[in-house]
Amino acid sequence: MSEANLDSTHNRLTRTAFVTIGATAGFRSLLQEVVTPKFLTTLKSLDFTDLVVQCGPDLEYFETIRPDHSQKSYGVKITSFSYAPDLKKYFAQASRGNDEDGGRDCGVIISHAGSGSIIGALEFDSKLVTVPNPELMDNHQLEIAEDMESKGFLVHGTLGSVAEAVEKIDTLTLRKWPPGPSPGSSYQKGGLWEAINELMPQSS
Amino acid sequence: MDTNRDRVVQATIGSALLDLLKNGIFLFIIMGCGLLILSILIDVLSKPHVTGNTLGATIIIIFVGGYLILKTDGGMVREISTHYVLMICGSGGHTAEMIQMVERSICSEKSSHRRWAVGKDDEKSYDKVLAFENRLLDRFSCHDLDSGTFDIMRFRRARYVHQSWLTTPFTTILSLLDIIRILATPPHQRSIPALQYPGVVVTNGPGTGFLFLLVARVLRLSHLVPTSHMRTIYVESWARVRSLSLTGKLIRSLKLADLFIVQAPALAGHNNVLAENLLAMPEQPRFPFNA
Repeated sequence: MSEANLDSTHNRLTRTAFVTIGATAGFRSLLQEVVTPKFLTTLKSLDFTDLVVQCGPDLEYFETIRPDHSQKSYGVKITSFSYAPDLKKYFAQASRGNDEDGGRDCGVIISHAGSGSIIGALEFDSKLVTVPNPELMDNHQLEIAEDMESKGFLVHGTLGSVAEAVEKIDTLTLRKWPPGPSPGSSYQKGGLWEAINELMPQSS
Repeated sequence: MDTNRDRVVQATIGSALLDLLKNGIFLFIIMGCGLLILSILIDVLSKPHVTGNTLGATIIIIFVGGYLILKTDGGMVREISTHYVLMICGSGGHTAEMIQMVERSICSEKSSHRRWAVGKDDEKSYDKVLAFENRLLDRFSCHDLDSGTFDIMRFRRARYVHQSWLTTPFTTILSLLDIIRILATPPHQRSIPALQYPGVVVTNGPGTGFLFLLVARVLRLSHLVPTSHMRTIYVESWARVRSLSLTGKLIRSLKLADLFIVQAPALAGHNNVLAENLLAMPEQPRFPFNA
């Protein structure tokens, strides 16, 4: 099972939890946690149908720890893959559906606290639980997770209580991303390109 | 040597081949100089005050190398509308942030060129840049806009993870040569003299971005490139909320960036500009992503 099958179960309401750990570093402790009976029963109790896991370099490891049949996975369908250049379809699968794909309930995205993953997930109308990787101590994942939680954009999850974070986010209404322009901040109208154009040698 | 074929090739691509040969010879000379300086470097590495000497030697290498490559075509710039920006992609999250910031804010410019500098071993960044450029072409052509030209050039890293410090001077020299090449090679897609050098160089770290800004500064200070060009922008990562990264600290303390942008209020100071959430600005892209 290398690629998640997205076209299954059209005849019922699906609800997906998408776990992404990024492409660069492994994050085995998070992979372990999302297949624990505690986490899977929490998903089941919140009516989740699918668990999609992006494992990065740890795909083989994940295949050895995941439950091998549905009894052990408490009825949650688990699919896994290593990496995809574009994770948009997975983010979309775990976010709120529109009228065209009505057979979907707003899921949850559980991601490591890499800035690329956070931004990628927030672009979708979804619920994001961010779990900093404690093994990357100089990576400042904790900083950004705490900061973004304090601003109300996501929920900061910690290893050992990711299930609780998912329960918590299920009842929360999060702030919409992107935030509006910040007062006192530069380049809010034109972004980075405005800064580039400011320095670009002027032609005559 | 098949001279007939050479003539045909030369007729087709003109002076481009000659330039390449010229650069090739110069690169060879620089390699020689580099190796000479390297022996000095290794010598000083065993003594105290290494960092000062190493930095000095590095600057000499940049100066000599840059001079040899650039002396033939000076810094003549004709005043015509151009827009040539060089973006340096560090790795992983840094590349993702860079693309995110550019994709949100980019506008169509007259006669524009984008150059992306990507690590030689960094296939993921390469793919991301290519995917972005494809999206941009689709998006701009939907609106009948000129998306300009782009190229991607690769650099060797100064030091790889777990690399021995003994071999680091070697790889640093190779890396510096790549950096000079990327800064000084005119875009092949454009033959406009004013596009000889990037007008603006943007990086958001890590490591190699610092070297790029250092080389750009040395080239400008030595007037090898016009001082109006190679203006530098450093954007501290959006993930840096409470403290600057090491690259950011280095660049700020050496004042290597003409514009130093931080994205968190806690980091704002008199030498840098606060621009929050540059990743998501402007809120509404000037041209919609999906037309």
